[in-house]
Amino acid sequence: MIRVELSGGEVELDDNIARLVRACDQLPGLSTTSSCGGHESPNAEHGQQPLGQFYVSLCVANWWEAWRGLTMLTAATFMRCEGNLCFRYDGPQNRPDDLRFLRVELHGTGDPDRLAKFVEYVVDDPAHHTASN
Amino acid sequence: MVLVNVFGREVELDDDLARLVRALDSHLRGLEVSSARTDEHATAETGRAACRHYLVSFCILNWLETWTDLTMLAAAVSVCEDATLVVDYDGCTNDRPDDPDLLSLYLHGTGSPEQLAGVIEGLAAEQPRHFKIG
Repeated sequence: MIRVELSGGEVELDDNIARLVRACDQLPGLSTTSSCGGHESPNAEHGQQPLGQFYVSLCVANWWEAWRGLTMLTAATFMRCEGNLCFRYDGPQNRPDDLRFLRVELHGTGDPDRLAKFVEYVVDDPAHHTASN
Repeated sequence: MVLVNVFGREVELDDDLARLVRALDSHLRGLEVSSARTDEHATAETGRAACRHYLVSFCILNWLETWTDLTMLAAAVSVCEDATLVVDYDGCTNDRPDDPDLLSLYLHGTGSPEQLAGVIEGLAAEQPRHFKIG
């Protein structure tokens, strides 16, 4: 585990996922909420992933800006041709209209740093054409 | 196939998708269904039971209302564990990677679309839309 300073404060992360979480934390309108870099003996109750798999979960911090952030994240996964993004609901079943419980989850396999590089690249200058990298 | 009057026009849909598309038509505010279809995978080679797969694609009509729709759909999907609400990139390599018009949203699942329709109808009936984006 490694301690990392994010926009919401200091958190403890799996070593191999830290760079990707830092990159995702820079996406406009989105904030990271949880992550896992994969474990040899995963604890499913704590949402841990098997070795070789990882995920980063994000929530919406700014409803307008989040569309740009979401597009950047999907573009980065497109550029890497790995990982997938889906929406999850993380709240009680009696509040399906409470947007605070909406999560964007990025799931992938392999080395999270490879995807982190592309997220950093897109965040750094979205004017770059994807073909140029 | 069945003809269904949704989104102000008459469309032809697979029978078991009709209820789901009607439910989406009734309860979505920011999203609109752009296409819906089912596939049945060939299973002769594997000898396993036939696996049906459905796919509903959306286009975004209202960016802010879409967040409310996504929350409701994600809640419905969390009940039907064989369904997933996916966001993908629909751009090509020369597009700007921060243009939200290039996002692609779709719902797919391997279970019963009618079950998901029932969940959406139930959630919509129980919970009026009272949460507003500030």
